Amino acid sequence: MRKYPLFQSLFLNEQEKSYALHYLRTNGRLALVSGIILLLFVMDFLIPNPLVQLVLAVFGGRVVMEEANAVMKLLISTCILAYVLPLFQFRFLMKRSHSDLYLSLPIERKRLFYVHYLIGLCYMGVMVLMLGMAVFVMSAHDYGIVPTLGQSGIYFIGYGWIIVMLVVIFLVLGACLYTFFTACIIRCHNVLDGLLICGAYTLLPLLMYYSLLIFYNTMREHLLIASYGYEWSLMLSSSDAHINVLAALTSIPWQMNEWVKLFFLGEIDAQVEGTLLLLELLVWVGIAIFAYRNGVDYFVHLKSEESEQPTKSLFTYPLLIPFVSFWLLLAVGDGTLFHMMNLVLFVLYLLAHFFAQRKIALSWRMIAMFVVLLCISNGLYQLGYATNGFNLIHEMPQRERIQSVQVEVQLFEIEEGTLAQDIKLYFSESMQDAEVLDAMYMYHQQWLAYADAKVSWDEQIGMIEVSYELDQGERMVRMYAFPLAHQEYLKQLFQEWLESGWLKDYGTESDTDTESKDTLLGVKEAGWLDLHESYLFVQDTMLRGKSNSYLSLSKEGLLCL
Amino acid sequence: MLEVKQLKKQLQRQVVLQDLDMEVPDGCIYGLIGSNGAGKSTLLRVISGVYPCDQGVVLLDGCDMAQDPARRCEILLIGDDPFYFHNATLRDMKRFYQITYPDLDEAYYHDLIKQFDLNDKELLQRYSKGMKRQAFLILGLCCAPRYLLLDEAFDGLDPHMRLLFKQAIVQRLEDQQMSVIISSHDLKEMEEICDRFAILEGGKLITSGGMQEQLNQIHRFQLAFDKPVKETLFDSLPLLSLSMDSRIVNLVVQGEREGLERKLRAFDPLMLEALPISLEEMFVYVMRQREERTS
Repeated sequence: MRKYPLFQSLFLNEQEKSYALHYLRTNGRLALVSGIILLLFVMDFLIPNPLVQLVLAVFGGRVVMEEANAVMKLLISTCILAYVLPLFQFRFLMKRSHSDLYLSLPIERKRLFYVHYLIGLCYMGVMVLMLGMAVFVMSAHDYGIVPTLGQSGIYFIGYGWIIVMLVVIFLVLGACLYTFFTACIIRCHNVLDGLLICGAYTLLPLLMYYSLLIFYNTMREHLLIASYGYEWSLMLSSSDAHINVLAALTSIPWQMNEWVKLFFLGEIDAQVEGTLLLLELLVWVGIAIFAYRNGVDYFVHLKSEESEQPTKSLFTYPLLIPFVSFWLLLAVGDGTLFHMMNLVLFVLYLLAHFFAQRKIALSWRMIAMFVVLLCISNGLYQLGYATNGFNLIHEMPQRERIQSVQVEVQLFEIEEGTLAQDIKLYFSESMQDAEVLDAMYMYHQQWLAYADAKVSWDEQIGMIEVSYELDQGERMVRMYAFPLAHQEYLKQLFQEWLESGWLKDYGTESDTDTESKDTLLGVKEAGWLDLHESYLFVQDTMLRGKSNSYLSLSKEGLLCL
Repeated sequence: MLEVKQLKKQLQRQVVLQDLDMEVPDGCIYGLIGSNGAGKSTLLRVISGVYPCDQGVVLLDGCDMAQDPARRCEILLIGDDPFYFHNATLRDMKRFYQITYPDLDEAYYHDLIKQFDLNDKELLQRYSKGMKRQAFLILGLCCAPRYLLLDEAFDGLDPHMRLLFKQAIVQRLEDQQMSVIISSHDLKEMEEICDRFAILEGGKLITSGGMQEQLNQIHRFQLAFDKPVKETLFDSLPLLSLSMDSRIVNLVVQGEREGLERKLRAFDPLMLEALPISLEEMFVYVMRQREERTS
């Protein structure tokens, strides 16, 4: 048997080269057409930009929205390539006559795998480089070569280099994703299964993330007095909540997105995120190496007679169906529609099994597995309730950890026992004085007795939102609603705060014409001039429906367009 | 020599080949015969390396093929439903085969496409079923591997084309040191072309050997007696088949012809005639005998 030392094995022998060239020749037209389509997609000539609000990018004091969106499209293109190419490269495994031809070739299976893998990888690499170059050229054309290449604003390098760095990162992560999908695809015995299984693996991190978020929020709703209006959106968008960076470990596209955010949201100096992402990148490289070796091993021992048969490999349906079901069960939780939703999930679970095995055959094992998953998900809820959300959920932070505090107050005007339309709004500045923090901490403990998480909107007299800046850059936001019965307490509390000078009378919400502008000016007055913070606030404001305006940012502050 | 030793292969948990031993000498045409599902196509796929063996080995000149895949260039499988690339012409497929079979005989290729009147620039998808079969048989013959494996070789070919291809195979065998393993249901054709054969049934090899040797081992005799005889009269003979019509008896017997004739003449028949037996008949008798044994 021919031995291939590691270095030597990277190169193709004459026969393999001829094979690769023939392969490229026969598929060249398709490769060219798909390349042009992706180029048009990235260059934004034909397709309206749906991603405009995904990245509000500022670099060196300039809005580089087009570049950021082009990079986002480059990200999407890389992921599409990584998703489609393995299926294309190993499609011969999905048809018996096709696999007869390829697997009977006098090429060692390990080498056959490598040649097909390499061709796909090279095509993806060339495409990502070309698309990246297109974005780079577009930047230079739109903004000039100096800001693209050289010093720009407060940064010592032009944002063109950011594009270069991102292209390199996309190449590495794209290769990892491609390798992972390759390992999946060779386990699939038909095209539909290949598409579904890779799709499931792509969406799985998102499902896990949302399920965990729902699980966590359900815990908080159950355990806390504070109610949460918009912390959901804050968690999704806030990059200073490290959860996004950590969650990116579960998904390569997600991680790519985090890199884009890191570079384009002006956080290039964000050491923690950068280091975390770099470590995650290395983890993915490790996973990709494992996936490659595993893929080779599987391919060498591949039972080609299984092509066109139902896919039964462990890492496909047998693992995915219970896994996805578990996360869905966790998302359903123990809410009001618990029983109905679980029934629906059970039906979906069975349908997925029937589809996977391409026949309607019920087994006790299937049912037992679902029952076990149901027990685990419910058990987790009960355990969470019993342990304060696994000791993650606390009504208040520890006093020693508080660095600063801000409060936002809404007080509803009462006229003859009914709620009026006007809502008085107050903001505090960021308060850091130890005495003030002590006092605020005491107030917080005090108002817990009066707040009610379940009070409906039309029975509220007011709301307090308290936002703590903690050590290690963490942030804790709590929002409390107060029922009509406790209006005296709330009025007294506001009076004390107004007299102490903590709060600034901001205005009323009914003043809709200048609402957005005032909100933003309020932010400016509050000293929230950090661009990223402002971006979050603006996005949050938009999500809360306070403004429908299109917002953008500039170095000088906030503009309402 | 190609040898298959103690081969076992399972497909979807079903044992398709079991304890199979087979030897294919160089320079012969070897026929694989068997009923549907006997394991003929699976055996060819295992030999060509498409399917890995679950147990046993395939040896080429004593060398394990699984350990040395490069030697697979000495074997070429033309399946029952050969694959061709989308929008590929016969010429494209020839180029593809040329990569792994660099000794592909260009001149012979052109001779054959001329002889069979095929346009090698036309898309294969526009070919009829028979033309596709011709195209891949041509490719197989031009690649001139040491062992050409043809699964349902002449399926879809008209009688004239069959004849031409049989001639081409025999001619090629004479010109090149090549062996052909053919699986087919058409036993008449197999009898005409094959030197050796093997009968597969239920994943096992029942009979194998040289075509004439095996056919010489089974004989049909027609006997006429002057008075009706009983079946028990022939109990001492290794019978494969016996049919009686009053005084006329038809026998199919296994064994050496002269010895059998001597035994039969001892029954004092009025007439004894030895009739030739075809491969098809032999296959039927062997299968029937096996069924009887099993039941």
